[in-house]
Amino acid sequence: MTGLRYASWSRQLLIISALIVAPFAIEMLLGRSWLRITDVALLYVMLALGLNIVVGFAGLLDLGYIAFFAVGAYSYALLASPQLAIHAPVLVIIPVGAALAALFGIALGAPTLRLRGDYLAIVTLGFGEIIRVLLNNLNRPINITNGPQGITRIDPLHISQFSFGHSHSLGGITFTPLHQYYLIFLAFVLITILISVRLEHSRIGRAWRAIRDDELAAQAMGIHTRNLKLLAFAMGASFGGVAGCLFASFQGFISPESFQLIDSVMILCMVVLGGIGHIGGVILGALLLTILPETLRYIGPLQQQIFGTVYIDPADLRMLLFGLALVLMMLLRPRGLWPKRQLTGQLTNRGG
Amino acid sequence: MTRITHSTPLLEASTLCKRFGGLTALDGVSFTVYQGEICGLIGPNGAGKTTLFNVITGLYTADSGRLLFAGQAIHHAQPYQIAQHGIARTFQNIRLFGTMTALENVMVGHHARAQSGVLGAIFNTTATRQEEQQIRETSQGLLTYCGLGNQAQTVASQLPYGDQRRLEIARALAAQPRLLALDEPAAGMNATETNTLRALLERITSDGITILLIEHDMSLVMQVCHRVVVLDQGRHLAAGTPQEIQKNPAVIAAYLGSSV
Amino acid sequence: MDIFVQQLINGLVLGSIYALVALGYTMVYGILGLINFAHGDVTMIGALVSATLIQLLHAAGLPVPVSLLLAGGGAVIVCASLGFSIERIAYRPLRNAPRLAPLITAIGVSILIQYSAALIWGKQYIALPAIITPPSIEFAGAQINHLQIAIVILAACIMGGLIWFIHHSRMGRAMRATEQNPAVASLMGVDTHAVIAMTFLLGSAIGAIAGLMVILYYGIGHYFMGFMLGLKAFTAAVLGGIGNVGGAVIGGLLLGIIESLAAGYIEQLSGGLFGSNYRDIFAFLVLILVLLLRPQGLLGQRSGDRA
Repeated sequence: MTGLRYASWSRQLLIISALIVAPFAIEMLLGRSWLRITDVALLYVMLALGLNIVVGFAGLLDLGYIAFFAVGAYSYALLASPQLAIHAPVLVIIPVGAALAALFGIALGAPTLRLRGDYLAIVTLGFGEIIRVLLNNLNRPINITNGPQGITRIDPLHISQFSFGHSHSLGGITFTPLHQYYLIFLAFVLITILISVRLEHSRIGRAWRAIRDDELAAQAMGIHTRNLKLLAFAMGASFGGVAGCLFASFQGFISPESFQLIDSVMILCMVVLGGIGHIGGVILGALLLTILPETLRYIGPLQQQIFGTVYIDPADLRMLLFGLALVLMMLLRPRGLWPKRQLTGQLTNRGG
Repeated sequence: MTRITHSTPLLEASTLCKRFGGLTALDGVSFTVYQGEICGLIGPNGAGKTTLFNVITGLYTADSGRLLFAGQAIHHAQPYQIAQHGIARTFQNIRLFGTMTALENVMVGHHARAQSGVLGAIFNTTATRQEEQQIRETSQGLLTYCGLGNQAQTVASQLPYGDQRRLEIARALAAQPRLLALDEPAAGMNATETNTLRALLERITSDGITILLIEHDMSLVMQVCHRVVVLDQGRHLAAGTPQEIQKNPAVIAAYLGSSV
Repeated sequence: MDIFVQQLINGLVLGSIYALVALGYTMVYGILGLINFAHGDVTMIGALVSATLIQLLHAAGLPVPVSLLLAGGGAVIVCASLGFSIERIAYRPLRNAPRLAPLITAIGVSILIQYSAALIWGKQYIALPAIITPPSIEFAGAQINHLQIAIVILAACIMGGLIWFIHHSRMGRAMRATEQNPAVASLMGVDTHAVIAMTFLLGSAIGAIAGLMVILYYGIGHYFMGFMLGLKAFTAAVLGGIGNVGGAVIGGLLLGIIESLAAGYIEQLSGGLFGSNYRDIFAFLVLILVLLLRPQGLLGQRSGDRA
């Protein structure tokens, strides 16, 4: 065991240093916009891992997950912008955002978790829409969310005097805001992965999988299924909340536009496309679904060059391909691109 | 086999009733399971055996009547609370956690007897690690106990049928029950498998766990049970030693009547 | 003018449309246990195809009733083939797949239809030229026009016809058998594939008529209109008891009326705090309440998953 630990320790060091160097390589080879995309991709990895706890581990279909992201983002925006003239420290806001999202998760889950799978899906979908409608309309009689215009001039992430919104130099290397956000997002992603892995192999994770496989049998085994489902909802939601806080600080501007049903669907698809319940697969799914659609942005100029006009709006094309990919994916690899080994072919009897 | 002498009641059911719409599945059933025995629960199809099991294990709530387990009222308890009280069960139509390995299935059985929570798992505390280690070892032990020692890493749904039945028993035992409720554990087993099962049941009782057994395999029932309770059409028909039951005219009539 | 009666009438019209769309959800759910996410979008296609045909036929100089009839027929053909193909391509191969898989393809198909429509019709609102100006009549202090009356009557005929079909035709009997137990039905010689295909065909055709009604009633359509319409119709189906055809009718009418009344009174009731821009969340609130209080719906039967 220790020998194995040692070998993987040096490998881990290598991976981590590669991850730290990556943003510089990306910026140099592909340009700034791709570094920005990478930053966003990391946020999606967090979201997908959070949803994976709900859908993958506990088997609860949530189609309104983006609402928790919205709760986190609006928590940050309201507590760190001129909107309510509050500028709270980040170390307060992020836990508040996470806790608030978890609270919303419990508020949604408590009455609905005894519903069957598809019903739960629709109720969560409705919940997501309700949150969005509220964000759109809570600008009167008292202006809280500023309605469809959204909230602007949100403070960048800052820890005492160190602001992620400004460039910093260290040993002759300049870290732009995009680099700095990359690093802090990466740190959050690593923590999320660690928590996911540890939960999966814990008593709690086992109980979740038991509920997913057979809820009735799980109850008979002494598992308080309702509380454990709520726990899954709250945990998943809090990941979404933290990601939302980070998103708001990164963008500096948020509006209800960013939190639509399609975004919930997108995150669910990351989980399913990658390999539901499998942490590695989910990360892969999140990266692919963030990065691949971005490559389509070159389609517009390409059409201009070839045909002299743009026939298909790249954004529409992106959605078309996305829809097509979902269908094909489920038809050809219903368990995802990188599924959990145990669920597929590997059934050899290692113990014997 | 002789009547158990130290007859302390473990489970006492009195006048349990359960209706589904117009159908009365349980019609005032009363019976007692004594500490340390294997109590058979038999009856023709549709007699209400599984309904009774579901009432005992909290999946159904009885419309009226009382259930005492070790002196505590449990007729309003939720299934998970029943398990915590010390009743564990298996299912007629096997309900294993299909995507989990045999070992993990048994580890889930420990749930009610363990404490580790989310924070313990996230921070990987010493207490959590120790508890996990202990659960893992006990579970492996239980698999061996049930004759599945070398199947620990096999995914439950891939196990042969007889092994799945025994895995359900191992999983139930992991909950450290005082009463083990088995719903047709021998169903679909061949003679060899049934013999292994019989030995296992006898071993479980000799380790001090009381068994309530629904079974259609009469030779198994007559061999292992200390006492047998007969249900017919939702009513308590008879109770006694296997020898008494075999001679009971009412029981014979019920079975003949139903087999036509 | 009496607001209450007016909103009641509006609700009845709206509810008839919801009920027609809800039929499509409830029939498919009854047989496959699948929420056909794309059904709202099939209805949207029905609306936009009707709009285009009406414009074309009107421009060709055909009289209004004829062009309406032809447009409706065209929409029915397009939607029925669309529904049939969706089932064939996206759902049938997944009959034995994990439960989540067909739901994901359904979402995929929904997105595909929406953005195909965006390509064909563009993303702007499609407005129907004012070719018909139905005369209004006074009724109990409220205005009701001939179009509204026509919608309610046509919807009633379709629903009655469907219920008759399910209970009295050979195919209807096969549908009910498949709904109860597909395995046994197929042993008894029912071609379940054909039954399922028929269900999609019928549901989509009825959706097409609903689409035509929407475009006539509101005068505008949009590539994304199927989403909200679909959600509300699904809510109606759940409200009535999903899988139950009569339930979908009652659920649709109720939801339409609740929504219209709520939209009409909310400003008054909340002292101006909430405007009618909250109307879209009533459907969800109704849905959540129904699922909490009576998850089997008004006409549904409670079915338990027990040992």
